[in-house]
Amino acid sequence: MIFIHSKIKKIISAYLDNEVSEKEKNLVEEHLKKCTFCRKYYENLQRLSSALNKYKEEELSSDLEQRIKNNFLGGKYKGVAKMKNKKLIVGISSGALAILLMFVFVGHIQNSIQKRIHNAYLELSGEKQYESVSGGEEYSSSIGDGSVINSQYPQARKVEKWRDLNRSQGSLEDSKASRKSIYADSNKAWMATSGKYAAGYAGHDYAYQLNVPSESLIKPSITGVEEGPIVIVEPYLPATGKEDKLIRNAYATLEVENIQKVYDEIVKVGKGKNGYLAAANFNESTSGRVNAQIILRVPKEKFEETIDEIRKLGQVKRFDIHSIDVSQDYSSLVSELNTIKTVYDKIAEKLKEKKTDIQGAIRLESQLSPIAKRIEAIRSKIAEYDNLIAVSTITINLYEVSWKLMIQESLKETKQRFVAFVASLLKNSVTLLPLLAIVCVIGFVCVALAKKLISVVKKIFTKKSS
Amino acid sequence: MMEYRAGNIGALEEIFQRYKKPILNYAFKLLSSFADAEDVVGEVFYILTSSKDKYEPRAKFNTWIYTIAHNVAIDRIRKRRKISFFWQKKDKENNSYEELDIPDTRFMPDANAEENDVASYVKKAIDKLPFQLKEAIVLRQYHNLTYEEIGVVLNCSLSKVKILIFRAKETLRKELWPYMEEVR
Repeated sequence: MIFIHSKIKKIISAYLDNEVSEKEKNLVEEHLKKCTFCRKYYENLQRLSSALNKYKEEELSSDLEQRIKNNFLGGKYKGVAKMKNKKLIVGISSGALAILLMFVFVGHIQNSIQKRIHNAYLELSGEKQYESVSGGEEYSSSIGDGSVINSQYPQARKVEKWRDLNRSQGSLEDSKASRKSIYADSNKAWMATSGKYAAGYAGHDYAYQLNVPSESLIKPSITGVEEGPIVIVEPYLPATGKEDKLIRNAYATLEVENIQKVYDEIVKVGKGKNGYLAAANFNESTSGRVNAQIILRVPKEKFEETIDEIRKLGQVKRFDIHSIDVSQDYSSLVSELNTIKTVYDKIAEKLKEKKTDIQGAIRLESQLSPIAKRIEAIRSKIAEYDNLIAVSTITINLYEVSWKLMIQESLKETKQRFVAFVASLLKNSVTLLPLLAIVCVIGFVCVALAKKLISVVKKIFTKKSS
Repeated sequence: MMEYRAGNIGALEEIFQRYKKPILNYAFKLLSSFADAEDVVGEVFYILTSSKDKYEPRAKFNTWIYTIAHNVAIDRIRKRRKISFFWQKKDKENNSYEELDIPDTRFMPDANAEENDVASYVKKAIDKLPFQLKEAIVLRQYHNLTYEEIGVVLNCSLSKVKILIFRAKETLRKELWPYMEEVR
């Protein structure tokens, strides 16, 4: 009976919903007439249905309705897309923030490590406070006739050393103050010597240029830096004429198709210009590339012609001409030679006259021998200069073009670079792994927080509107 | 729907007017959150417009739209589970997310709610139902879908729908019997 009741119950439930077949309907109606228990159950279900109908219907909030209408009745619904976009934006921005933070963090660590190493180096090197250090202040003053006074100062960080350096200036609190004082001193110099003053600023280094008449070169008028190291750099004087004693050299690198042929050509050119082959060497690298270096010497009159001809022999990859002016050296050597020679002649004359005793003669002889040595040295130096000036040196580097080799080499280089790249990537990723994990966790939490925040705000808004 | 597919925007307006309330209430009863329910309405109409070409005329339109709503609601619940992973330990016994959701105070019994008393108990009882039973009874009781239509929406057989509705009624009957006397 219980079994039948439980089966009938199911059918009664469907019967109430008009979801029974004709046969089942008859069965239920028959059964309900007979069974009070099932009738009660039927009534219960009816009551339940009316109880359930008490549940009030909800209305869509008017602003949302309007939004949906506006968005999707025009053909496309932007609301969801917007929300998706929002999520995307939140995701991307939190990711970007995490990456930025990571970079800042890593950069900070690197920077501090570098600083530490640098400071350690400075401490170890102790007295090297005057060396130019990157990030330090550098002042240079240029004197009117082209001479330059370069004064290099320690890093701004080393304020104490600055103080020591600038005792005469009184209190110097920081590098800024020092800079000001230099500026003031330069002004004084300018006023004192009626020169020209110019100051420039580039990046974080200040460069001060001071143009003053040459007579003030003897003692620089920058009072504040008197104790500092002052280096007087010789000016570079360009060649002015044929009378100058110039040693002229040229360096050329040529890319050629047939190295042997070009070598022969060069020798031929050299001989044609009354020159000679000073040195030559061939060498084949392990990769099969043939290189050659040829040193050619030609009279100075034929220098330019030779160069012009050599340049035509292949593709010029590098070309330099250097002129070293030895006029001053040369003339001082000549004048020294003259002076010493005069002294030598006088002593030699005295010896010839035989007016002294033997001891005197020995003394004179002993005086004479270093002079004679010096004369020889000067003469040989002058001869060397003469030779160098009269005959110019042209150094030519040759290498063969070989496509196969070039491809091989570039492939090799690419491989090496790739390996280096992968290695550095691995190294960095290993060192950054814990950091990455932290960043990931932070990012994850950020995204979750943002989601939560959005949903809470949305709920609050919908509540308000409803 | 066919008219809308043919390009009649007015037809869409009519669909919206006819279904906005049913879909909202359906989603609200399933998700117990008004904000989520409103989202579901928006999403359902978005899907409706974006996938109008997928609609097959042989299917009944109301089953189609309820199927979309059903899928969207299930999607919501999955998302909730993901978020709740972060924020709380899920109460395994009754699947409730009360800590996560802001409680919906409209159905809390309060002073002026004598009338709403039964309604609030009904809501609580429905909220307690397992999801599938809830869906079946809601579609039957409040949306007047036939068993066959419910089978299409829930993607199950007719006999299963019968059993689901029977079980839901049994559970609700047991839950609500003290208040049923008041009705009549």
